[in-house]
Amino acid sequence: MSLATETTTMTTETQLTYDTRFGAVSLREDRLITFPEGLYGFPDCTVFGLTQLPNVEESPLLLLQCVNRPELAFLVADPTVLGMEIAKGDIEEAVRTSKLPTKETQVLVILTMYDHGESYYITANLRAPLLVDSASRQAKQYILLNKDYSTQHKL
Amino acid sequence: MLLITRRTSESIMINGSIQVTVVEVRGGRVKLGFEYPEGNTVYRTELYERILAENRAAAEQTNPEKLGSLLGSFKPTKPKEPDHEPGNGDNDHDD
Repeated sequence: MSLATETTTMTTETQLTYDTRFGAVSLREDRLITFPEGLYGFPDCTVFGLTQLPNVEESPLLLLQCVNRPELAFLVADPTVLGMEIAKGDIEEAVRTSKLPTKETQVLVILTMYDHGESYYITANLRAPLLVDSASRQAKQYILLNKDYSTQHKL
Repeated sequence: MLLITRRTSESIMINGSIQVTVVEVRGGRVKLGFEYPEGNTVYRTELYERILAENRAAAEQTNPEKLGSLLGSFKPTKPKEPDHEPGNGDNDHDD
């Protein structure tokens, strides 16, 4: 049923491989991230892996590959690496409200490519960032209350 | 749908912990106040729907071929080579 094929390496790390629209990606099973509530609009998508974009070197853009639904993959990035800022206070409030551990929260934003033929560009959803606790690998998509953050911040 | 009529300053209790108060009614607009325990979320439905739509668009619309041509413009803001020649003025200023 799943497109994933599992192979066990010498070091007993299990790799999950997927054929995405960006190319083949491979996820380490012990590094998967859990979104207990899924993403907005995708409540059944609770397990993801974060990986480099295939066939691209040194890109700040990463691929968030869904394990429950292998056909689903999101482009994501650390907003600070792309020169965008979500204020520390807003992140702290989000982490507190979402009841994630407060120590090592990593923030990612989902990117969307808008394609109008000749003109195409990428936007970042700063209003609903992904909060990932790197210790427990639990995560949540959180809608910020602050209206200053756009759902379509143009890069 | 459950219908309850309330006047200004009257409120409604949900699940014994969420209180919604009618703060002001004026010209077809109602201002509501929400008191709720941490961990709950309250948003305008329009915002919620905008987030759903944006997630769906992100899942569907990215064209990998065109992405390749955009990737060149998304270098990390901190250059990796410290011996890079200064003064080429290509710093990005995103607004």
